[in-house]
Amino acid sequence: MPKGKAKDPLDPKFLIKHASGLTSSSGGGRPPTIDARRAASAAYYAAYHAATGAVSELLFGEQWLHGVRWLSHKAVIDASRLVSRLGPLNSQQPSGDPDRVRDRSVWSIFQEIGGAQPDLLYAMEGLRSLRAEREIADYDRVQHVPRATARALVRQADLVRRFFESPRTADADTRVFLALAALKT
Amino acid sequence: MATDTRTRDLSELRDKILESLQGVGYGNAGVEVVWLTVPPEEAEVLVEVALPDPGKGTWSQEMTNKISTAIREATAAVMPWAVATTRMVPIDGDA
Repeated sequence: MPKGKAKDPLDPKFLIKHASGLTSSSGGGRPPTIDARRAASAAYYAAYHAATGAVSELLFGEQWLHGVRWLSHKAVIDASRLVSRLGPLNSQQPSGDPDRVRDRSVWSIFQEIGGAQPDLLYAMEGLRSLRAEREIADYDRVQHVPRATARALVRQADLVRRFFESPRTADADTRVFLALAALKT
Repeated sequence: MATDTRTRDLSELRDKILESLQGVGYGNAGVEVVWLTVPPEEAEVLVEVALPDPGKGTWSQEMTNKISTAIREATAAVMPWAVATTRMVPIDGDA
């Protein structure tokens, strides 16, 4: 990056560092719950950008950054639900109902490739926990966001980031998630 | 009718989650379950797990993973058509 150019403000690592600082700050006069809310929100975006970065890289290779904005939050969360529900090797075979065709297809893919591995399942659950807390942090005026919860989420976001920046994105189970997120966009 | 069924499903799921958490050593956890999305959307429940406050830190990753796995397996047993998302909170809240 050229000297003097600002750092990418959406870089997941930067967002996690920012979120982590908020969970340990003295608040500068603000109630700690305000910082906990901002931390949960930043942590979610770190995880979301890490996941969408991996999807875009699969689709666009070296030009992946241009594809990130094409992906919706809903697509990523919907794909994570499918992986959590149908990915585990011991998950129940979906019923034969006509509206379960897609479920049976996703389920059979995971059965063929040996199922979704535990680290992928934790990443999927982490994404959804972060999304749920972000909704509370950004929109719910009543519900409390505890600091311990925010700290747990920041750590979870970092696990999600490390997962999507690792060679695991080349493995079959992760590629199913990346493809589902891309196809549901 | 659908609302009654969904309420019953949640109650059954909560019982199963409590049983699963007890099985992995977290029988002291408080559990609340609410719907996040319902069919025809992909069904998702939010499971709030209240645990003793970890103080200045947070709960260990091992503990988080164990709880998350127990909840996933309980949900698959009771509602295989839904997914669960976990929210961990300290029992007495914090500042």
